[in-house]
Amino acid sequence: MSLPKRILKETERLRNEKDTGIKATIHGDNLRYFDVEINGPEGSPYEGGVFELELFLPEDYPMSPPKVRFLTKIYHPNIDRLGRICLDILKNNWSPALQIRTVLLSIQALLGAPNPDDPLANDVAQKWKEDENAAKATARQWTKEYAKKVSDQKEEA
Amino acid sequence: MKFGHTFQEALAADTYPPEWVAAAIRYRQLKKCIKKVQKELVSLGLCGKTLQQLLDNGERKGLISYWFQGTLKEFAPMLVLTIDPDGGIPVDLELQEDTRKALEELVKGGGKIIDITDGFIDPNGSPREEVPPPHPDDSPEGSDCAEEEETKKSYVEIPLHADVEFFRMLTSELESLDMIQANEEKRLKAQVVALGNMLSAVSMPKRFNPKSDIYAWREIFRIYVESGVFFSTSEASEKVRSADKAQEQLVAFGEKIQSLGLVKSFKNKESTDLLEEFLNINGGLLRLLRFQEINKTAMRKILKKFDKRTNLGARQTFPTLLSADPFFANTISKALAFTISNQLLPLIPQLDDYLCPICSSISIKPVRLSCSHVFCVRCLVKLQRERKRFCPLCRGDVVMEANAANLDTALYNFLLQYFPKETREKQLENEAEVREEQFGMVRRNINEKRAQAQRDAQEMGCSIM
Repeated sequence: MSLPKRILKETERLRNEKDTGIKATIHGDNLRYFDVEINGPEGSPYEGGVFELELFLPEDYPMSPPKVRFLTKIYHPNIDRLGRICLDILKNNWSPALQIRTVLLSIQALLGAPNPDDPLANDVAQKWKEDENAAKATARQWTKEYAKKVSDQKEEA
Repeated sequence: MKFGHTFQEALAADTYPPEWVAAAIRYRQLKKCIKKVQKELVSLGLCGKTLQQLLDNGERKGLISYWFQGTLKEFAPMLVLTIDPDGGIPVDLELQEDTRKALEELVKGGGKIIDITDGFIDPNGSPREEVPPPHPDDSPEGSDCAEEEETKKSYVEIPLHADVEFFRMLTSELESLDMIQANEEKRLKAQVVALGNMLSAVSMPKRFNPKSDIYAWREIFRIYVESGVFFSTSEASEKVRSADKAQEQLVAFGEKIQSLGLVKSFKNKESTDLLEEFLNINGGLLRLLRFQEINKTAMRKILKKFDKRTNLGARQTFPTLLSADPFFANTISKALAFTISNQLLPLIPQLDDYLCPICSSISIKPVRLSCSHVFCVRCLVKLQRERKRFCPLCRGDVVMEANAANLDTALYNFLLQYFPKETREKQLENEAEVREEQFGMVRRNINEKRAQAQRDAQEMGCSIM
């Protein structure tokens, strides 16, 4: 089946996306597979880090949500070791009026507002509840260790 | 190069009407006037350095205060000296002999003593801080402690004729600038309205006008909005552009239209003239913007020069008065740019406003749900088939109740008229999709994928936030 117009338009718009700290580029020649970079939001333990993700648009997108996964290791109560993300709009609360761009912005917002009461990574969530400061320190540590740096990203560009 | 020269050149170089040039800030005359103020101050023994010592500033209350009293329409600069109740100059001041002498003479020789009941005194202030507040507006009517205060200090106005002259001159310039601007605004607005009327005629849908130029004009306006001539359209920087930048964008807009050969595609010869007129209006606004800009710079420079020569600090106090002035508030050029956007652009509906939020193509046929959100019928059918109950835009539980009665006929007819090409294309696509579905292939495929997706979700075992 040919690529729906909507996906073409979204891709075009993402190409021109600036200033928001999200980036999605088509991976190779598969027009439904994207390499994604999300900048950690300011004021969060992920600030200064650039996180890599992969995003795939299933055949019946936008009736079904895109599949998104973190590739960069990240310490976050709603993201597990395999990079899977617990976010309502990626599951039951998906709406076909949402887009790749809005999904990525929601993920960026999730980094800024972790929700340990609805954990995907149980151990992380527990730490987060017991000693939030220590958990955040770990998150910062991991960001430093595993994420690309914002400054490097700028040099590439 | 000196600014006075640059300013004259800028006024001469652009194609300003003579009355504009006449109304522009008279930088050279003002500069001469500053010299007079300076001379006057020196004759009072108040050279720049002495003034700096005596004058109020942000951190320290001084013996002399300088402020503007009144409103922009009518105000006077006030230079006021604090003296002892017996009319003497405070002795503890380290004043140059001639300065002291000059000031004493001034006090004796009928310098106007300012009545405290004028209300410039802060009744709660400690004696050290008993100087008029630098804000002309907060002057409470009559103060209870006035008499008590009077026994301690008095205030004498130091008359500065040249200073009054300088600011009178400056404000009279402002008035004429305001007038120029108001006239230009009226003229441009009338042009916009006239253009709008003619534009409606040439861009009528085919049914009413077989030689409709609607597609060409739609493209022109789309590019115009994209060019963001007077405003940047990107979210991060939505502010008025500088005249230079606006000109650059306007030129780029003109070039793009040329390169796309849109003018050649016009079927009405009036359209060519109208495009010219549209560019003229934009040029007119640009000229006004540029005129504002150079006059603002001139104003800034002349105040800076004034302060440098006199040390009176007008740059801090005068601009608060100016902020009420329409010419300097910059609202007109903004308002005019909005007039162009609001009056002209809506005449040509843009496709982007009529896209289905699900498939991003024109909403044909448009179905309006009871929450008033519109989707194309194909996407709605898909939602219903998959039992997705909630409106994709507002999550209202309205999808399943929609039926043939939800077709928005008025909108449908409007889209057929204004977007004939897009409508035809979309209808062909829809038909092809339906045919494909009747073979059942796509449907089965989708169901399989869905089942897989559900299994994935269960495996992850994540409860939803």
